[in-house]
Amino acid sequence: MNICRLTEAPLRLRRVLTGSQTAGLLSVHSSAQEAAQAAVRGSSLSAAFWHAVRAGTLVRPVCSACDRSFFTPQVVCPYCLSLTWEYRESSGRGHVYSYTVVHRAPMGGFSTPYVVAIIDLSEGWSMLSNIVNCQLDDVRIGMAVQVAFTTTLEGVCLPVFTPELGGETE
Amino acid sequence: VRVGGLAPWRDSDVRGSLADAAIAGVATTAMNWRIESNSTQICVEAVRGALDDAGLMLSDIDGIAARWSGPGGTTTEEDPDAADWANLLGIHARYIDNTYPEGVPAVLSAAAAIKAGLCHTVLIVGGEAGVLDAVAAAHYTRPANEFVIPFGSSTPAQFALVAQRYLHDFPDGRQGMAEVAAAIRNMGSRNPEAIMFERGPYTSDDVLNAPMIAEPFTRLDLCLSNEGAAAIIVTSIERARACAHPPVLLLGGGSEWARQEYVEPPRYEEVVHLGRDAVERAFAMGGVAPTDVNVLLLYDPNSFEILRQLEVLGYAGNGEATDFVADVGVDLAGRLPINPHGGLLSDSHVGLGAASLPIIEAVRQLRGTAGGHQVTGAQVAVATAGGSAAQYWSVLVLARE
Repeated sequence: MNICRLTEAPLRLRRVLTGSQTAGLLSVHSSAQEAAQAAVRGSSLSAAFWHAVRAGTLVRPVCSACDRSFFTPQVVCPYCLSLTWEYRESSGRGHVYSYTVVHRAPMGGFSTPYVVAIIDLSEGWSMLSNIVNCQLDDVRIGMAVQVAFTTTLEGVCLPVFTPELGGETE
Repeated sequence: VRVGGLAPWRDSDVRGSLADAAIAGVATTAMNWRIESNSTQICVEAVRGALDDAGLMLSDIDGIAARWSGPGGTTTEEDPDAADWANLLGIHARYIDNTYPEGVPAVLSAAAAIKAGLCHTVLIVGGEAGVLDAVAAAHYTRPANEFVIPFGSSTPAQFALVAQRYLHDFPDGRQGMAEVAAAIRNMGSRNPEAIMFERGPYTSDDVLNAPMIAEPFTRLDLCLSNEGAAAIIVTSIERARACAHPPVLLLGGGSEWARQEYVEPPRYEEVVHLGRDAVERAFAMGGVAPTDVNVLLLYDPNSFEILRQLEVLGYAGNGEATDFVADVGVDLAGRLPINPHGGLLSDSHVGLGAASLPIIEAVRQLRGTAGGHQVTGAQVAVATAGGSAAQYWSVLVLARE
C-alpha cells in the first residue's frame, strides 16, 4: 500500500475527457459526467441544497414542527411526518462516522484512490461525502472534519470534508 | 442521527406457518462471465429446467414471481430484467409478484399466497445475459443518485462503510473475513459448475494480499458478477408430493427492510445486526434451533457478510464470529459448512437471479444431489438473501421431508 497518499476530490471529469480523445473512451467516461451533472442539477427537493453549495454554504433540512435535522431531503420529516421543513445553514463541522478508501471506482471519471465517508454533522444529521487534503492513512473513524467546497474541472461544485485543525476526535 | 428499528412482535400477533407450501423444482442454466443471449431468453431456459426438474408442465403454473413490465408491473423504461411473463409463457396467472430481490423474499411471498389460497404453484425466475458491461457491477446497485454518484461510492464501498466500523470495534474480524473467503472459494474451486472451478486454492493471506477494491475489501473478499439464470417452483405440499423429487419443506422465514439500498448511507449501529427479529421468528415458526442446521447457504456479496450473518443467526455474539468460524470449521470438513458450492464469491452471481442461488443449493443439499460438495446427511438448511449495506435481509429455514 502507498504511504503518504494525499487525498483529493475524486471526481475529475475534465481531466479524463481531455486525456482521452477517442470517441470510444469518451463514451465510457461520459456516464460519470452525465450522472454527476444530472445529479447536482437537483430535484425539487434538492435544488436549494445544490444552489447553497455553489454559494459556498452547507445546508440541511430542518423540520418546522419538531426542529430536528435530517438528510437526505425527503417530502416529509422522517421523525414526525411534518410536511413543512426548511433548509438552514449547517456549521459544516462534524466527525467521520465511517469511511472507506476506494481503489477501484464504480465508473470512469474518478481518480483513485479516494476516500468515501459518512460524516455526522454537529446538528445531528449525516451525509455521504469525500475526505480531501488528508493523508489517506491518517483518516480515522471519529476524526473531526470541516466542510470545504470543490469545483471539478467540469464545473460541478461539491461539498467535501477536510480534517478540522485542532478539532477533537470523537 | 436517526436510527430506525422494528417494534416488537406481540404474542397476540398471527403465529405464522409456511408448512402448506414446499419447493418442488429448481434449475440453474449454464453460468459464464458473459453469455451471448439476452436476459429473457436465458430466464426461459431456467424455467424449462425447473419444470423438468419438478416434472411439471407450464399449464401447472398459476403464479409468477419475476420482474414485470406488465400486467402487474410498471417498468416503462428499457429494463433488461423486465418482461410480460404470462404472455411470454403463454399462460394466465392467479398471482404475480413484481419481485426484487428474488430468492428468499419471493419464496416467502409465494408460500404466503399458496397458504392464503390465492394460487397453488408459483414460478420464480431471474437472471441476466448480454447485459454486463466492462464495469460489471449489477446495474441496480448503481443508482444515479445525486447524493451518491458525485462522491464515487460503489456497491463494495457501501458494504465497506459497515465493515470498516465493525473492524474498528473488532479488528480480529479482518482475519475472520479472509478465512471464510478462502474457505468458500476453495470449496467453489472443487465445484465443476462454479465459475471459479479449479481457480485456487487460496490462503487467507492470498485474500488479504489481493488487489484492494474498497478498504477493507480486496478482490478476493468480493463476489462475482457474471451471467446466467435461476428458477424455483414453489407449490402446495400435496402437489409437491406428486412431483419428481421429494418436497423440500419450508420450516420458517422472515425479512427486515430498512432503507433504499445503495442510496441512503448505511449506519453501522442500525444495520449491522439487521435481521435478528426475522431469525428469531423464522426458527420459532419452524420449531427448530440454529443448532439443528446442517448447512448454511448465506448470501455472500462479500466476506464480511458471512461474519455479520453468523452473528445475526445467533451462532456467535457481537464481534465473536471470527472465533466461531475458527472453532467449528466452515468448509466441508467442518462442523457447519457454509456455501459448499462456492457461494456468490466463487460459484456464481447472476443479477436478480443471484438471490435464488442459495435456495437452489439448499434444495440440492437436502435432496442429497449436491455431488462432490454434498454435506453428508443434511436434514436442515438455512438460506439467506440481501445484506446489511443493501439494508434489507431475509432468511429461510428449509428441511427434507
